[in-house]
Amino acid sequence: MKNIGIVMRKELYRVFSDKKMIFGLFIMPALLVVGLFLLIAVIVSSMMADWEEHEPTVLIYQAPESFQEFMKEWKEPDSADRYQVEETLYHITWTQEAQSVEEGKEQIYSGSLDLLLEFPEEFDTRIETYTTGGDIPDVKTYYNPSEEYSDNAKGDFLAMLLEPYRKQLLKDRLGDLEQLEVFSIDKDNEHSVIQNDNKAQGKIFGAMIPYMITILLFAGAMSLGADSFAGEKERGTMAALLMTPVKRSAIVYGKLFALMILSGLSALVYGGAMIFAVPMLYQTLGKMTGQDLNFLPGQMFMMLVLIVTLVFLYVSLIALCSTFAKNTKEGSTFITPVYMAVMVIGMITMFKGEDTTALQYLIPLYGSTMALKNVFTFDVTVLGFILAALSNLGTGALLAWITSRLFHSEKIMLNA
Amino acid sequence: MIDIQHVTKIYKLNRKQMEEQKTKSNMKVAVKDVSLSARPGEIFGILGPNGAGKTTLLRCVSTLLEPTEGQITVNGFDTRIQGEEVRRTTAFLTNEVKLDAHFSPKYQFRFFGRLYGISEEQIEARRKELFEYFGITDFEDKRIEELSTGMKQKASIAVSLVHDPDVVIFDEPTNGLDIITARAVTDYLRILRDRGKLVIVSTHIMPEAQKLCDRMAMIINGSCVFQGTLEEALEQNHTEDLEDAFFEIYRQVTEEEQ
Repeated sequence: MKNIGIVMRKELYRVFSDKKMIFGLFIMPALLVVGLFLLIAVIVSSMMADWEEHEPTVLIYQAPESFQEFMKEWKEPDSADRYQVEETLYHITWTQEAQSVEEGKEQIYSGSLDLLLEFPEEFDTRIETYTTGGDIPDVKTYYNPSEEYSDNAKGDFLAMLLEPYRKQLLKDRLGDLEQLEVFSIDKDNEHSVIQNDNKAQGKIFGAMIPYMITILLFAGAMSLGADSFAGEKERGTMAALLMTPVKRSAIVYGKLFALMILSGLSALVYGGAMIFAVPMLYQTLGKMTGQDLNFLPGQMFMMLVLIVTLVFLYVSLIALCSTFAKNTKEGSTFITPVYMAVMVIGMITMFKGEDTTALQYLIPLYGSTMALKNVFTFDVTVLGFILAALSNLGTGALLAWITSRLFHSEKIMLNA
Repeated sequence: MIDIQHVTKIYKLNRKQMEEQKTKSNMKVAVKDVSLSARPGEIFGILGPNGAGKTTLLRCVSTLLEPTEGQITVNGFDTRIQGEEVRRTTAFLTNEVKLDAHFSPKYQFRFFGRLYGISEEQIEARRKELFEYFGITDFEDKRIEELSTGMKQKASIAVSLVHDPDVVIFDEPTNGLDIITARAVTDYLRILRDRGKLVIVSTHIMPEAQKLCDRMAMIINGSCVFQGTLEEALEQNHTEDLEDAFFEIYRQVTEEEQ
């Protein structure tokens, strides 16, 4: 035990006495996450501001009198074509010339016009003379979905103007719209949603966080693991360690525990930076959901146990891969496929349903990621949690044992 | 005390190594049926050209490698089954065993001292003695990567001796050192011998061996072709210096092989 501590302290000191390593491992990732999120927030908010400032141009062909009348309510007093509908100012051109429809289509294609509305001939008459079972007039719209302005203009115009106009015509025809509605749903029921708020939040975070945690923990340990095992071989310092009377397993465990601490710290930095950066992103976009993340003590305990045991499994896996390697570069190459596997498993659990059998919790990597997700959604069973943690510990210990056996191999350790 | 009995070491070569060594066999006999014994209070030289198997033999003695056949005991401990005990009383220094360039000599000295289970007081006392002797004290807090080759070698020697070992095995100890540092190292080996330690050095520099070694073994192509004192080597080959004696033995061996 004492020797494990000595090796572990040396590994930790190696990192913490190197300013470049501290910067690369703990400061840069935090800056990167915050900087990246800040950049996204700035870009997205400036994009949204640009959409809001844009004044859509609309061409309306053969507009019936009833529609022109309907639109008067929005018309700007001293202007011929400006219509203010809530936040949006539309520039509307009215035309009766068939040729302008073709021209309008070309303008939409080139992006100089946002929306074209084509009313059929004698729209008002056909509405007034409609009899049950007869044809209804069709209003055609033309827009360009690859142009953001045009896409937004169509959606907004239809929702804010055309739909209310249709409702008004319906009301004129029927006198009472409720005839059509027959019954309403949840009109005055404020308590329609009956849910466990924690579980609701868990659903959102449960899909994302286990994935993030697994990726971050693994990424944190990856380069350090390659350096700690393969790098020591490359530098010739491993032979010096092997020359001491310390048990090979003590060297392996000393390095593993140091890696666990470093990868945990690195994940904490990433996680902390994200916790700081995500609300910042939401606030900038004005989309803060107002949901708080409330963890129950039991949930916290389960998460902690799962994360600690998962880190142990990860670093054992990384140690095993890099022990086979002759140098750091080869070590990173050997670890990469395992990293890919961890990412894929993380993705699978993101989209997988909640039903997990006890045996599935035992599957290394998959079981614990699933358990982590289910802890968030309150779907994990005590048995499932215990099995996942045991699976992590068991597999991690097995891999560490194999690594310490490899430390006895002169072929692997000394390339003899 | 080191006792080597009929030790053979065979390496298995992978395809790449076979190509590099231009051989069709996937086996390479590095050491062939070598028997030697060395006693406390002497400097024992393992002499031979590069690639003769000297380093492999010493790696077997230091427990880094396992002999394919035969047995090695160090102070009565079998290197194969009592490796930890062997390492506790042995120092092994070779080009392949290096100190971590990131740390200072002082840190490394403490680190290895602790791994050998020595008390902090003993570590301090040993550090003072060895650092002063090798002139390391002035740069004991500098990172090893900032040191010159000679300084690095001196630091490596000092760190390898932290546990005051009974058996000191140095593979080409003066290789790449300037004349002053080399002299400091060989002088210290004599001090160790005079303190009753067994010192084993491997070298291909015959004048150095002639001055330094009390007894010696010559290894050529993995086999031990001579074992005895300097006087015996000179007498048997009717020469006046060790280099000539070595070449005489080398000529005989290669003639026999042909």
